[in-house]
Amino acid sequence: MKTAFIFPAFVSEFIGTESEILHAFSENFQQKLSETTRITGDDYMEFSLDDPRFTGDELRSQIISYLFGCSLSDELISRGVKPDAVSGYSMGLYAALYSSSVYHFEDGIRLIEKAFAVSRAAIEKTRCGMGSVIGLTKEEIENIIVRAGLEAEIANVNSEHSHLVTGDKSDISRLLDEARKTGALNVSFLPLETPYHSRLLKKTNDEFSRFIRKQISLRAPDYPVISSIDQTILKTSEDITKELTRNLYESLNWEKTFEKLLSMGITRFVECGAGKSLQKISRFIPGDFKVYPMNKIDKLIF
Amino acid sequence: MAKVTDEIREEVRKVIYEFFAEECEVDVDEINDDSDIFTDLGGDSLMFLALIEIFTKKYGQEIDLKTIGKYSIQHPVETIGELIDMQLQIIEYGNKIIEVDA
Repeated sequence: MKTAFIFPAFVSEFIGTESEILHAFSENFQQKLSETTRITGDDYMEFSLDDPRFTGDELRSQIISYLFGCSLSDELISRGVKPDAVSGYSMGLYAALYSSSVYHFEDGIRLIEKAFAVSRAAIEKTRCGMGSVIGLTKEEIENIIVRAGLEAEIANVNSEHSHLVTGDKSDISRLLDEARKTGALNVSFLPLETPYHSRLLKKTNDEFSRFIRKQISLRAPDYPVISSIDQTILKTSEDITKELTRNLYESLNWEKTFEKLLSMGITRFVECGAGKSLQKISRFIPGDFKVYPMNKIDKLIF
Repeated sequence: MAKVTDEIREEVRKVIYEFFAEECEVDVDEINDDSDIFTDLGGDSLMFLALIEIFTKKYGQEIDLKTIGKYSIQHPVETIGELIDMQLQIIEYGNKIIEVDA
């Protein structure tokens, strides 16, 4: 049976027991909290899912998500559950690359911090945001954007009727209103101020690319890493550098990424991170497979 | 479109209860018609979408999702009972659901 590790983005609904699950395995999670404290200067030893200083802060919640993903994949691999491929949903890319030994844990955090800094600098004082549209097709959303002339675009195709949108905050608000009137089952704002996967962040490319080339030591992946942008297999450090930079401003297609993994014969997916958002999304993708969120992985390793 | 019989009504109820029990990891006995899908069960709109797909396949309907979306603006669904009612309306009226209260 072939297995893929898939890594969620940092916008997750928590199951609530993630920390307990990881603490119960080994000292790995504790060590990573300690290491993260040392690297960032913030006290992650005090981390709690109920503490909005962590889950309500855009940068810290990304780091927490990375920490969960890295720690869980470490545990699985150390217990003999090794992936035949890995892929990251949006900012889940950082943990996906760590799990494939592309860089050290510390470098992943430095990448997250730098990506956040260059993204914020790129939008300067523009108010930006992201939203979710359930119930319309990609074409129906794009028609609204074009018709209304909005500074907005599709950030991610989750499935035929589930999309994330990104762009200028007031235009995202208009897009969500119009989508609901058009017949979307549900629309919502995401708690983000950075327009990930938007062309508004294209200007981050040069600085972030330079940072990666000068500051981060990249290795060829131990396991195939599937791009969620174009579904290619990332093999070289150049592939990885391009993926990391494009991941900030290119739109993603998670549906196609999942289909690519299925076409590789993968039938078992482990959601390496908090919550079970990827399991929920996968429900709309046809195929004979099973997704294991963190609170179900005892079925894999015991 | 199909005439909603007592049998269909019970079937829809059973499917919806079992669906939320499994998805939200709660015992089916903990769910009742007044259960709030979002606050009591931790459900979300993707679950609505999944249920619509389950029922359209089950009853061989071709439903324009946008019609249901527009209907739900006038008839917002928050509880399991409201969801059952909406699903029965969809089965009975199909794409004409939007005209029912017009």
